[in-house]
Amino acid sequence: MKGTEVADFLAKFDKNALENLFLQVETAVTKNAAEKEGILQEAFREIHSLKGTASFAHIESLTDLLHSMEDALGVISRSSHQIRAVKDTKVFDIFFSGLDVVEELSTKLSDRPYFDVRESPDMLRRYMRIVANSKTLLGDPGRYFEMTKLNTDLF
Amino acid sequence: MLIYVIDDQSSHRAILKGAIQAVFREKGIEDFEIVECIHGADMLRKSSSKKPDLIFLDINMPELDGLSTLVRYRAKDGSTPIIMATLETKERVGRLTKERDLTGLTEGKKMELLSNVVERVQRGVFQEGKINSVLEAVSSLRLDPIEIAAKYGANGCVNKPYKKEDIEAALKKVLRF
Repeated sequence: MKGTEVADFLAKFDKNALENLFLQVETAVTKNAAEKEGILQEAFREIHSLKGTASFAHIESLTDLLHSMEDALGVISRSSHQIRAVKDTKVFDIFFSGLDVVEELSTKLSDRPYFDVRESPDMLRRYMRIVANSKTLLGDPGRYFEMTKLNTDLF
Repeated sequence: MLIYVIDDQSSHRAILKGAIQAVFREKGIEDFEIVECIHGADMLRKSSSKKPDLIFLDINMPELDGLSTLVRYRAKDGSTPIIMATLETKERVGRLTKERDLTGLTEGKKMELLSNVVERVQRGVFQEGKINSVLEAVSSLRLDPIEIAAKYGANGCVNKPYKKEDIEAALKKVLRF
């Protein structure tokens, strides 16, 4: 990993734009499928693309973190026809805290390309919480969302 | 030989193109052309006038996703080799299968529902209030996109980030050189 590759990542990382996008996800998640489909796809594409950039640059810590955020968006997207209400708003911390950690981590990496997230206990704690919440969502979406059965008329 | 590279990200297309060129030149093959497409709809448009001999097709794309592009293209050309490209590693797909399936549907029912969407996509029919994307249907039904691609005629799959050795292995498999 080189400093220039992290700089390339940072050049593509627009935190404000992504925060706005995730605010729209938060608002749209309980709307009907047609209304939320576009915004979920856009958010998924943005994180997927950013993860691709981190992966090509071999920045593993950022890739893994973005993986967790993408996993969470994937669950919401796959469940988009079944989500009726949000039971626990903590689910959105995966995205908002995730962006904070991506920003801090990439800034550290840009100063020192071999920075390890374990060097900062606070950052590591938040990093692990995001990964854990994403895994919980993957294993049990019903913990965060009120779900209905999949409507087969959609197909 | 005409090779189509379909990926919405220009950096990914450039890396894939470079890997294909390197493999072909190492084999002493100079007579080839690479056509870049930014998504599935772009590929379907371009391929109607210049038929490809080989296709590299990303799964996750805007406009027309890779799985929808695959079924539409296969409806008119059953023989051109198609290699899917994805960031979904086997490990990630394994994690997907661990996701709690809340669809309440049997595998047989899922495939039946998926075939309804595939049939509409192949005919280019957009129906209000229905799922009109194969990738979205696969996601909603919690199916494995790589397995579904193989079922609907993909000849192989390479993982991103693209590596020259993976591209070479995929090319060996479909072109037998």
